[in-house]
Amino acid sequence: MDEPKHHDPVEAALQSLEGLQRAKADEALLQKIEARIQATRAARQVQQTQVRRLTRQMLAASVLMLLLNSAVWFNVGFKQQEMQKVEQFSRLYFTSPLNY
Amino acid sequence: MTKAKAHIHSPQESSSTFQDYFYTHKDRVFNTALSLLQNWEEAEELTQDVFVAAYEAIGSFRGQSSMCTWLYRITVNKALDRIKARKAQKRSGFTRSLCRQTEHEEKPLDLPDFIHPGVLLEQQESSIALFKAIARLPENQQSAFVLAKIEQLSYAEIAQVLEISIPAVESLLVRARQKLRELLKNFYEND
Repeated sequence: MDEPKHHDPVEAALQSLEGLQRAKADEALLQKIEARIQATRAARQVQQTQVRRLTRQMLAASVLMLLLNSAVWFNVGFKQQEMQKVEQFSRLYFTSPLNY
Repeated sequence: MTKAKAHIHSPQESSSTFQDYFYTHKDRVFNTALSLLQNWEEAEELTQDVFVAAYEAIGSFRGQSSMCTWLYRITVNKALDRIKARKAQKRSGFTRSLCRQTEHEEKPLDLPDFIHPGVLLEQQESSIALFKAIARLPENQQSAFVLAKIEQLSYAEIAQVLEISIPAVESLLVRARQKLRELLKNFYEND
């Protein structure tokens, strides 16, 4: 004679997963996933373009700064040479350094 | 389809390989997500997240474990992240100050009754209580129990997914069962 399977509700709950079937995922999820992958890829391309543009701008700015620095450096060097010449001239002709 | 370090060359080939992977593993991923999150919409979102993450990371997949194990690992990690986020959201705001006294205690989430679509009709009533109790298990016990009892994975497979040893899996499952028994007993006594 068959006895009722689970008198104890705790045991019945623990056994309730017996014969459980796997839940089926909606096949339309694939389209959503592919759309998300496309969107991520597009966003990454935009980001890469922005990063590339920013890198180019920074490179141009550093080249410009280098040029300006060089110009200032040459200018200062040129002026120092001129001053040296004036001092030499002053020593030669007035036997004293130039008095400002 | 164990070694998924896919021989992907052209975009077309990559797309069809990805579709194959999706159709092969979608139910496993979705069922695990559904069992852990106990919410249909969130499980669908998580399934999307898992496949997007897998697509992004396919290059770094070393093929040391099977594709299936790898996807299970991503699913469990992402599901646990969502559960943590839910708990954090619940704790935030006004209730946060109230909970401060018992910060170490995990407050159970008030989940609506969940009926897994694969549960046999005559067992649905009992399964509601069981799923409520599963949601109150500590995270590692929850994942191990779901993988063992719902996904029917072997101890070795669970060990690979959770990156722990087989004895650790056994211990987790014993503790999960003890805790579930305790929770269910309280549930039926208070009911």
